[in-house]
Amino acid sequence: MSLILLWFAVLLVASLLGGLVRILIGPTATDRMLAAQLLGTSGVGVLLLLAEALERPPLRDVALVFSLLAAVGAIGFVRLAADPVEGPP
Amino acid sequence: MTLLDGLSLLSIASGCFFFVAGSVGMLRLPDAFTRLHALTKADSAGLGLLVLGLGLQADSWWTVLRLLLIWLLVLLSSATTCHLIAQSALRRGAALRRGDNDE
Amino acid sequence: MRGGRKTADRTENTDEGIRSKAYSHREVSTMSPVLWILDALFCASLLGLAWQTLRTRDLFKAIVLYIVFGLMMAMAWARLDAPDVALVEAAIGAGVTGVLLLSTLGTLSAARGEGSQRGGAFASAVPVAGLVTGLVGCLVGVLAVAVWQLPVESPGLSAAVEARQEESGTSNPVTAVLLNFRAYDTLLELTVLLLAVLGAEVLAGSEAAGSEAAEGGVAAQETAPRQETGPRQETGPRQETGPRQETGTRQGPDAQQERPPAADRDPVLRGFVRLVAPAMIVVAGYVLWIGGEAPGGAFPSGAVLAAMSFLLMLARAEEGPRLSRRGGRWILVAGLIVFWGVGIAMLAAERRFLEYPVPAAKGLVLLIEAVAAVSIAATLVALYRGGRLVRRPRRTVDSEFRS
Repeated sequence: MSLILLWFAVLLVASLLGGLVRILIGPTATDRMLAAQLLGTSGVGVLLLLAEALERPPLRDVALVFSLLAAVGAIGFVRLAADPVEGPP
Repeated sequence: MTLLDGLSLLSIASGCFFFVAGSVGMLRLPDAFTRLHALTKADSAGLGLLVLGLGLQADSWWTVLRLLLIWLLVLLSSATTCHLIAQSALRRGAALRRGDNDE
Repeated sequence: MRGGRKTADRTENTDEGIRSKAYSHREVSTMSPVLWILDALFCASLLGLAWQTLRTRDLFKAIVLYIVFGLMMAMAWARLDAPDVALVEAAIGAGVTGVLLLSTLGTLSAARGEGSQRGGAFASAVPVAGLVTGLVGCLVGVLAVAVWQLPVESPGLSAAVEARQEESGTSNPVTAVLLNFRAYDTLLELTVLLLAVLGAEVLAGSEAAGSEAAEGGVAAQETAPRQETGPRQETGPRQETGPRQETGTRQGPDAQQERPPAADRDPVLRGFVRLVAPAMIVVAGYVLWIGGEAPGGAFPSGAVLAAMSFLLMLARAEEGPRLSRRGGRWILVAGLIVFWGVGIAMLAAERRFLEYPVPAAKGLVLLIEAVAAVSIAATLVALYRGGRLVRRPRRTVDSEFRS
């Protein structure tokens, strides 16, 4: 069982790395921030899977902190980053 | 493998499917607003099914409670942040994909 | 601390304790290919992210990459069986640093004019880049040699810690080391944090310059949307009116120029902060309390508290606690004062500095951690505000539009 869960964790990390490409290619700041959000949520998933598979309950606390702080970066982006007008593609 | 294990694995697998679909959508969809759509499915359905699957295996109610709390927090923050990001993208004048009814 | 009695029989000790338990799972062996793949993915992505963060010219992109690097790093720490470090990395690396950097970027853009956030200055610095690369290369080489010469299986000090665990007043070995066995180190770390705030305050300069620098980010995002009302496309105005009408302060369409950006009064953000900020306080308390027996403690707790303050400030929910500036300074140094106070009290009781009596250890550790968490949070907030926890009250737009 743990082994299967670990394979799922590998799948999630791989999918997360796929989403990373969107941060690299952009094109707009919004796209990058969205990809970062996806990574945060996938990270919660990975941590929960690892907590179960490796029998490490404290990792659920790390996932809890992840889920609480995922919003802070995005709201900071919305309120702080002065972004030039994004023209039509 | 019991029936419970099977159900749990099925649920986790479906959750992972939504995450992968979210990543694929993030890469393949044409503009920021449609990519938003891909993201929110991963947040809500993907993590929800994952939490359901892990909850079926959990050894105590305390664990189930914590898993549910994490999911609810992610739901709340993803709904809010996606709304705000979309709003700011509109305010910044990000271009929607051309060629639809808007034109 | 003179431990080391049990260094030899390490296998006996590894059965207990959260940190020292090696990966001995029922089904997954240490050499399992799935763990190899997981580790390879983490290593590759961390190195790739670090490289891309340094390489990119787009400062915003670099910040997002750095936030993601923090997230990946936290996952890697979790995989490495170091949940304490993972907690701090998740809270500080992914949450707090991101907001600090974004606010700095906003200040930079405001200072340099719109659209100048590309790091153009670096383009002409090729010789400097070469020099830096060379120096870093030497450093990496030295480190590699040092790591190479380490014994393969160093016993470390974990056996020594476990031997004296019961006397420390906590059952989490990390907390035992941080707050009891090596409390000196933590005391000095808190001092370093305070020095960082002092540095920020000095750099921010005089009162006027200080408040300008701290508010630059806010000013930037306040002016930017207004400038963009012109070139907005036909979808813009329709969408803009939505959230404004919900707040119930309708005005004629002519007054559009005088209004603040819609996000300032966004009911969704307000509602979210109202729900999440109390939850964050509870989690901060939980992380602090559980630090006595499991991963947690003052640093992650303080970081979560700081993140909550950032949320409140970003949402302009409140102006923050009603504090005098003197009160703000006291909060900044409270952690250090209590730490020193406890240490000196031990001297007065004819013990060594910071050597707690065993029965009181638990209470003292918890006391120091609780106060330190608040001070750490205050430090991070002060860094965000240009070195001051409490700013001179400004003529705010917030007070006018508070719902």
